[in-house]
Amino acid sequence: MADADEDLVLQSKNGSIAAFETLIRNHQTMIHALTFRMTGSPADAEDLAQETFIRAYEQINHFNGGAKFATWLYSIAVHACLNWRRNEARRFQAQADCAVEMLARQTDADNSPNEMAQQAQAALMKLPAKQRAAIVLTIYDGLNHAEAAKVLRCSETTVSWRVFTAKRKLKRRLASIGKKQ
Amino acid sequence: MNDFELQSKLKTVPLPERTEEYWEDFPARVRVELRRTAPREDLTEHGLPQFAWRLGASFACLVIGLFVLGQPLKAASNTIFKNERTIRCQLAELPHHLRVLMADEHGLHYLVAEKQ
Repeated sequence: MADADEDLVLQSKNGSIAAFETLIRNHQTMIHALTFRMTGSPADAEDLAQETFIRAYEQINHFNGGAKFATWLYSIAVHACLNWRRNEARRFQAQADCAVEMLARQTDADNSPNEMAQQAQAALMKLPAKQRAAIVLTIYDGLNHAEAAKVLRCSETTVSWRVFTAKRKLKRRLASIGKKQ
Repeated sequence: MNDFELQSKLKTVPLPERTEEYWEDFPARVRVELRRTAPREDLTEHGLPQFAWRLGASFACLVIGLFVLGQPLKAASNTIFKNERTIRCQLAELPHHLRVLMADEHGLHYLVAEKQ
């Protein structure tokens, strides 16, 4: 896959949009998952995924192959989400509520209510964006702290601290919800 | 709650379901957006600095041009101003005969008509 990406990146650098479209096809699911975990909104996730690929195409000449293409793309997506969160700070609560409602609708439709999923999503959305990014990368995407540090463009220690703090908050929130019920 | 339990809970959050059609169309939508944003990028990343450079260069040329063109006029007006008294005297003495007044590095020169 990595070799295939290399060829496609090279062709994209030479201006081949068709090659870049193949790169999009290869990575679109992963990027959509990341942007959804970061925003909690399917519509915003789509917009941010689109923005990620547009930025990637514009900056593809800066990709020197030092890291995997997927890692580079992840980095663009995470920073697009962090900037989006910064710009959309006022919409934060509405977005979180929307995500919970969406989950509720989805689970109701399946006739298998999953309150745990709603609680987890709500707790995740309440985290500060950078802590959420650390959790998404390490827990959902399985990156180790060194890889997450590359994506987040910060030190490994910073990632470890963000993961530690975020986990502590999540455990507290999810445990308190469990007690109330 | 331990880390394993937390991870299990977090992983229960499902991703939104999207149709095959959506995944098929998505790259094409990005391509359309790329084409749509291309002129804007040209303007912001390349066009705008070029435009600013051109505007700056034009302004600089205009200033230099005005400065260069203004020098002889300024020099002439200075000469006239300095020699105002002399000119007035000459005009008073030869009110109907003085035709041309010239100034050069040697001073003022007059062209006087013999007849009115």
